[in-house]
Amino acid sequence: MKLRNMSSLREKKRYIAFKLHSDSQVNYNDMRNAVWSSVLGFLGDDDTARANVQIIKNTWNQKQQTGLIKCSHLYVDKIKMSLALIHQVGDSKVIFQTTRVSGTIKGTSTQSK
Amino acid sequence: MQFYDLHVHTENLEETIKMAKLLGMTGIGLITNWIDHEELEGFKRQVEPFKKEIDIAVGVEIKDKAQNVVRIAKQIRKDVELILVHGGDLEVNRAAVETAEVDVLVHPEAKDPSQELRQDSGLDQVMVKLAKKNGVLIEFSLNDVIYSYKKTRSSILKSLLQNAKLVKKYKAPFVITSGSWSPWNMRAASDLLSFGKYLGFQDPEIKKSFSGSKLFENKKRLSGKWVMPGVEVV
Repeated sequence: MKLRNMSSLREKKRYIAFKLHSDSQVNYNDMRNAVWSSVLGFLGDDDTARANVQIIKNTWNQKQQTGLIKCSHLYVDKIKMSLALIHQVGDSKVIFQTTRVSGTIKGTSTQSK
Repeated sequence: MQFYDLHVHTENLEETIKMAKLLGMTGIGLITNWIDHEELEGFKRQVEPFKKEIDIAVGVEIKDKAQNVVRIAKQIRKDVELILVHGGDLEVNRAAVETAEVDVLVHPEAKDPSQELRQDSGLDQVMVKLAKKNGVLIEFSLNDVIYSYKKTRSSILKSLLQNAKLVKKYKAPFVITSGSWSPWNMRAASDLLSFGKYLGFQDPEIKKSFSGSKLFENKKRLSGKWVMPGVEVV
């Protein structure tokens, strides 16, 4: 059974599209670990819970090194800043560049063209 | 949106320019540490071939005692487009904001290891008012936050937030930079915008700080047509 709240009770969400520039290819697991450690380090346990952060696995493009992170609309800037603080994933030097913020997954892909 | 990162140190010019273009920057301020005139001329010659690819301004970062900062700034004003002063020491911070020749006061919150117990943010309301009067930009650099962890990071953020509060209250000019020393430390405009919002600034004022207006003003002054504010040879 799927639980569904009234639309007014649902939390407003945003999808942050990002591109990862790195000196070597980064895989999903390394990227996920780096994102979680940075978000938890910067926001702490409390705000991370409130931010409702989710890394959406099936939107990760290994070839182009792009992906989506879902979070609460109130925490977009803090999540973007915690992504900017990531400078290393595994042994690779990286830059997380946020390319677009949208309320829908479709919006992130259509607008960023 | 125009995006100038005014504080970029580099040892690999080619990589830095490539990364700046990749991150969508309009221009960058390439900064070298002040040693002497010869070193500066050498750096300018190195940068020259890359000026076709992206808008580049050559700048100097002065890291010295307070009395020398003023002397050096006045001495090299007509040679470079950007003069940055490495702050941290309270006397240096004060000297920098009192000198109209200085463009940017960088790392005002930095502390020597010997001053570990210092709790202040490096600026007070007097210095911020002087910065506004003399048009000295107060820098907020993301690089210090990126390469610090836990207690040190929270201490740096505390100082940056305190300085941001003063800058907002007295409407002093400021600039948000990546403060990078390698191509991998550079950050895109949207990420620095988030950093600015985290510090409590509004969207338009952050975008204004990215626009490089100080740089254009200095370029105009160095062109030889500028006489004084409001007077130009046409």
